[in-house]
Amino acid sequence: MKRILNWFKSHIPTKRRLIQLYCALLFNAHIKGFVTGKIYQGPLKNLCAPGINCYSCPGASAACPIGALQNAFSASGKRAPYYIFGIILLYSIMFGRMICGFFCPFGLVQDLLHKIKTPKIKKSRFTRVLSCLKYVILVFITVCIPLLYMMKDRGIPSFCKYICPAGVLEGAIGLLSHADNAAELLNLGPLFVWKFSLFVTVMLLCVFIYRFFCRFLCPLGALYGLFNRFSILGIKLNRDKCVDCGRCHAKCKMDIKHVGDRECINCGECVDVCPTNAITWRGSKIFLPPNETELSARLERPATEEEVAAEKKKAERRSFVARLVSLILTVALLVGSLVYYNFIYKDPSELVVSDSCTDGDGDLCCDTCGLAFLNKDGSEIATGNAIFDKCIGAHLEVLDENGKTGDIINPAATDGKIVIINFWGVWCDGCKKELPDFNRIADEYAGEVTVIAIHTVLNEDQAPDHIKNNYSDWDNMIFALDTQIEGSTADKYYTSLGFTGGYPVTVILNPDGLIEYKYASELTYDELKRDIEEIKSFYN
Amino acid sequence: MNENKKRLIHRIYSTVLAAMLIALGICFIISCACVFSEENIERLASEGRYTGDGLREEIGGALLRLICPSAIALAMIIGTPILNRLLPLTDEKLKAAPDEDAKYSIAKRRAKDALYDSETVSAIMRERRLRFIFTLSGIGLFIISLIYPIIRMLDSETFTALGNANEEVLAFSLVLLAFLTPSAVYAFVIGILFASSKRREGKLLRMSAEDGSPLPPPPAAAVWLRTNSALIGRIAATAILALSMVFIILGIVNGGMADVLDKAAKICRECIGLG
Repeated sequence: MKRILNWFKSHIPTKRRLIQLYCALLFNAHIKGFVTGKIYQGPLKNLCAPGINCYSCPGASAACPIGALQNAFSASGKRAPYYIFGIILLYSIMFGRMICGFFCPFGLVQDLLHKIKTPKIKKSRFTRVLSCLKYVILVFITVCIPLLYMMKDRGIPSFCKYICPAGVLEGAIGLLSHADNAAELLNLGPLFVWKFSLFVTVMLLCVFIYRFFCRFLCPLGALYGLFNRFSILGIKLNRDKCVDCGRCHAKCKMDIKHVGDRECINCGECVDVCPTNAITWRGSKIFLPPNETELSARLERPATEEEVAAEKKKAERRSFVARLVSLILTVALLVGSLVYYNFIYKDPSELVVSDSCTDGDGDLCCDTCGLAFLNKDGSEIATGNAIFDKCIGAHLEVLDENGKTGDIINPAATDGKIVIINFWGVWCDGCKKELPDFNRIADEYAGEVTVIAIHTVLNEDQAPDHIKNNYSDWDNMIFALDTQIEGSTADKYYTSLGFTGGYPVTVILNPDGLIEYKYASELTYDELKRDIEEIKSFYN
Repeated sequence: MNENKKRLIHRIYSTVLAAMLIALGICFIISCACVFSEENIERLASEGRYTGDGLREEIGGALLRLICPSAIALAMIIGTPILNRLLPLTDEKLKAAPDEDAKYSIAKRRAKDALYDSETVSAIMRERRLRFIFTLSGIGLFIISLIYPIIRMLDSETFTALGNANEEVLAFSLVLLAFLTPSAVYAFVIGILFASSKRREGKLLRMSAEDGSPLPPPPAAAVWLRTNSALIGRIAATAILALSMVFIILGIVNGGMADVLDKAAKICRECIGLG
């Protein structure tokens, strides 16, 4: 029993590890997302987590700063990105790269991977030079490419799209491994294969090289590193006490030149090895008792032993109170977050009430109303939520290049035609890529097929201009606007059809107004044509 | 068992584990490429299995094939503490720095503030100037080699409104790589010259430390900067903190905060690499 206790005592996680675990749990507090396969879409995603934590993770409770930064650059033609600049500046000046050492969940993953017992590649001059690569990634991939594509009216968060391994771990693996999101696997192709390969390579290299991603690839760490020397919290080096013995340098596994520089992640492992206590934490002075010399200088007379002892006791009490208060606050924050995200927050699908297929006078306007929840063979359609199996109609405002036309459209009122309903957004590059194929189908099957492209509420003010500049001669396409669910950011019609947050999505109704096909993926012209011909062959 | 034998066993164990992990990683990449290859997708489509569930089955099959090597690798990882318990190694402690090295390090630090008082110090400063020139020239060549790629990026004909963004970015990346290669070669060459300059400086620093010659006081500006560095840091931190607050408020007012929420709640799959 004693041996077991001793084993546990010698393997208690360090304070830093506990903080890392705490932060990983706090920034992924939406645990029920892993059970339901749906991401958190509530108001707290206004806030950004300080570290890399992909917002496509089902558990993500806040937005990712790098993703938000790139999206802000993509939208900077319409709106100056003050908010995300302010958030990143705030985190940088408060913590610097202490975020990398303590708060970043992906940093924790790398630390744990590095514990695997393999030969390790130690730092060298070459790795110090290679650590500049993350600045190249920051400038070109994170800033330049989104800005340049913004000038071409396209949003490409290139770091998230081409490089970020956290997106594969949390988004691809976390989100797509759920059975309900199986349809999204149809989206995956060469881009995903590239990202997955990069992810596996980075994870492997993290086993051999300490914090490979943080040191060489992470643009967020590059940004925070610029403010490391000025940050309010973090490690500091007292140059007067330092004897340049180099022990801190030998202990540190990052590519530092000196403690506290842009490569230092403020993990604090050098604090214990410094023989002259030259390395301390900023802000820790208030908890240290003054020594006899300092006290005497303050009192302007020699201090007595009792006075020194009293000051020491005061400092200990201050330290105890600060620790107790911070412990209570952090536990309260975590418990509060877990309760909110898992019990109080309601998924949009629980909030939305589907429109019934009636016009303003209460008359039925859809011939198939009441039958729409059944397949043609009488089986129930699995739209993801039984509430919406009653009716798939809606009243949507029609849109054109001048804005809302004032007309209302009900997608489920098929008039005996096949109806293709596509959900898209001007901010979504994948959506804009596939729309020309939908237009081609609309032109080819005019009179037999109705194609309705429903724009999401997000950036709806930009949709008319985009239609004017790109789709003004698309006479057979109908553009419409979705509406927002009260008390949520999610779109009403989109959510009522059982979709969970990804774009683009498409639903194909047969002439009876029943859902024939449902896709949570991009579609090509050939795939649309194949489905239409199949429906036509059944009905002819 | 003596320490050397234990170390050898540990090294063999860790090397085998490393090789297993690398092989496993390669297998995962190949499996992913095979599942999402065009041929496989065509095969699934012809069998009527190109659906979400069909792909899940394919992925499940690929994972099942890798379950055995994964289990072995996992067992080896979990077995590490058992190995450490059976064949414990003495912890390597940091060696105490000898006094000569400490003296050399102090001389190196003091030489940064030196004026050209002694020949040794002048030689040290010459080496540093040389390295500074190397660094500047490397950075200059790097910037110059970026000019053409940036002009190409800005060229409006390169980007069509609804073209394939992946191919465009790939093409740009290849152009960038081609233009950065000369600066990479130059960096390699000056790296060698850099290293030899550092070695010469090292010898001179040891001479300077052995000389023990008194150094003149550093320039007044350097002294002022060093004594007030804490104050300058605090002012900079306060200013940046205030600026960040102003930006956040402006962002809330102009709708930037709502944008962050919307983009985080509505995912463009292509934009996170699911394409």
